[in-house]
Amino acid sequence: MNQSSALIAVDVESVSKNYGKVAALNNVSLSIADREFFTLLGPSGCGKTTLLRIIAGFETVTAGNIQLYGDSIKDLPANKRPVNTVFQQYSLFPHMTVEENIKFGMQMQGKDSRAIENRTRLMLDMVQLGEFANRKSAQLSGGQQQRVALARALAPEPKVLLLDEPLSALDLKLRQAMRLELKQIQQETGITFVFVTHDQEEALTMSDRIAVMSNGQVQQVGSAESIYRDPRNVFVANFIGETNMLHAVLVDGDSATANCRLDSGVVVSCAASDANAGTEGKLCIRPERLALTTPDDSRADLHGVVQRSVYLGTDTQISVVVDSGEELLVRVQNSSEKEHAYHNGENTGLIIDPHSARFLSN
Amino acid sequence: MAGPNPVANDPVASGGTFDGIRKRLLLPAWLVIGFFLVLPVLMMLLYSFLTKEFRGGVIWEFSPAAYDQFFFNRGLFGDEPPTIEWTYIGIFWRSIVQAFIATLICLAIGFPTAYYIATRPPSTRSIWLFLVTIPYWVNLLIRTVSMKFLIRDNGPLNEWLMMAGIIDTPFHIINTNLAVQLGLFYSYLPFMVLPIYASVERFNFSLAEASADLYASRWATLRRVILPSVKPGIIAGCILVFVPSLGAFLAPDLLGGAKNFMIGSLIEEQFKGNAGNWPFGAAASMILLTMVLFVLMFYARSQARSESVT
Repeated sequence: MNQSSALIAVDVESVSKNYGKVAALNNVSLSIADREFFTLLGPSGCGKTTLLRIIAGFETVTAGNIQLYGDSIKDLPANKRPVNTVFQQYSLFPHMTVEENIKFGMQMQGKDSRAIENRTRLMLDMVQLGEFANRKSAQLSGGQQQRVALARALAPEPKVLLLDEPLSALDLKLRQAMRLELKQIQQETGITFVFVTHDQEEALTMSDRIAVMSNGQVQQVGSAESIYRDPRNVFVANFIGETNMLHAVLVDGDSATANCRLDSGVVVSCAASDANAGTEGKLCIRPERLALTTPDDSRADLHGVVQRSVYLGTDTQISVVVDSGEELLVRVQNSSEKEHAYHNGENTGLIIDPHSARFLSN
Repeated sequence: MAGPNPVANDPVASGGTFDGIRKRLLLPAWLVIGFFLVLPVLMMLLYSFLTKEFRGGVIWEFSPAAYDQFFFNRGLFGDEPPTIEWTYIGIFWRSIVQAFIATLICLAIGFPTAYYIATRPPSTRSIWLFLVTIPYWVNLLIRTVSMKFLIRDNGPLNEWLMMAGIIDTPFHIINTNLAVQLGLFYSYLPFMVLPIYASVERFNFSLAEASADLYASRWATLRRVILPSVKPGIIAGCILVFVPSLGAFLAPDLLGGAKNFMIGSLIEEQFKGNAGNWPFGAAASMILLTMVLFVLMFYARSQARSESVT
């Protein structure tokens, strides 16, 4: 697939947003492709919701531009933008029934009543709420309200659907079920979804691409896999999944691999880095990419003492303090063949997988 | 079963005695309501069925004459066949129309005012509310007299308008319906602003955002989303303005003159001085009270119905 020729649904061009002296967004640029499930992921206060509200038209930009399928929508009021939003607290109209809520957007668009009727039936069926059509929103459970909010936002056939942490108010079981449902609806309708969340698991399971944000800036954009395997900086590595960080200095390297020296003096090899030799930073290794071995194994890159081990069902999490005094987490898959119990205080060797260890400059 | 039951002896824990405490605590409230609300109304009801004394006061003899006088005309000597007496019904009707118009004006001005105040930052809201209520620190009579002074033919308002060259001859307001409306509006505007403010302040403005997101214009958002949500405040404000406007007598007396007589003035006249007719005043009061109760009952009924639908 040729990425450059793909139709761009939302183009965010150098957008900044200031509230007084506080910068909520700082020169953010993003391109969201047509029919993509795109997630804005970051901790609270990172600017992800502000960006979503700017696309929706609830906030204006301080600088920059927003395009929707090639047209600038920067100066269009919210009610003239062909995008719809699923709000965090759903914001269903309490004085209207489920059906009236779903019809509202289409009525405001001025569609004819026959088309509205048909589309409403379709939406009610899609979210499986046909029998609740005449209930008021207060009489529905959280999960049902969530689905009404989704149906209401999809009913006017928006070009882009914006979702502001829509699952955060649901309990875990429902949240997991809704993830699959959302993804399925997105694929069936073929509408571009822009999804805001602080929950990395949510982002990893649903998204085609993820933009990791912090401090009003985009840190990295990519597929779930590329962000997990190849984080561009310490923030992304820390925010997505569990990771071990060892203080390190880059020694040398070529286009294939690099070498860096750890505090204990050991030089280990890792994936190629474009930083200059002598750069200080962190060596980042995922817990499942570390292997434990006997202390006298010649392949061992590091040596340490087991602090504690926690049995987690499919795998065991073992915490090891290495010679430099830094603590590392190791995840070992549990299988019937390798039944080895790690005891506290036991000396152990650690092998680093050089292809999945990454040097990240500070 | 020997020994005392600790629960039964605890006046708070055991149901019966707790009820007793509750009754005793409510007693002052019951006394106030009984003394200042129920008793006066019962007295009015009683007086309306007594015979009038010519120097004011009543003779303790049952008579439906007051109600008869209100509704029927039996000629100068009371011996002709009864025809409908339109004088008082006319006064009532005019009062209802005046109160209705005053309510509409208060709503038209009060809603935007309340909406504006409720959408200010919380720290400045109390200042605006304070400004709205400031006139109420001055007695209503004095405010109404001041209004009379302001709008008379050679008063400041006309002088300014003429000085500014907007009009050549004084704009005649005093002793017109317009003057009465001005007085009622000025007297009761805060009763409209405060309840609407309270309900707009509670309104969840993310619903307005959702409405805009769903292609509604500002006007459609106001009509379809905001107004239905703040309706209880609007109805409360309308009742709070309509009911006292209906019985008002200061504004119609001082600003409206003899032509713009309203119920309040009619009743007031029956009790003032020696020339009055107490039973007739009481009867007119009872008729007014009945009308107001009908309006409130209708409102309560419609509320209950809309609740039961949800």
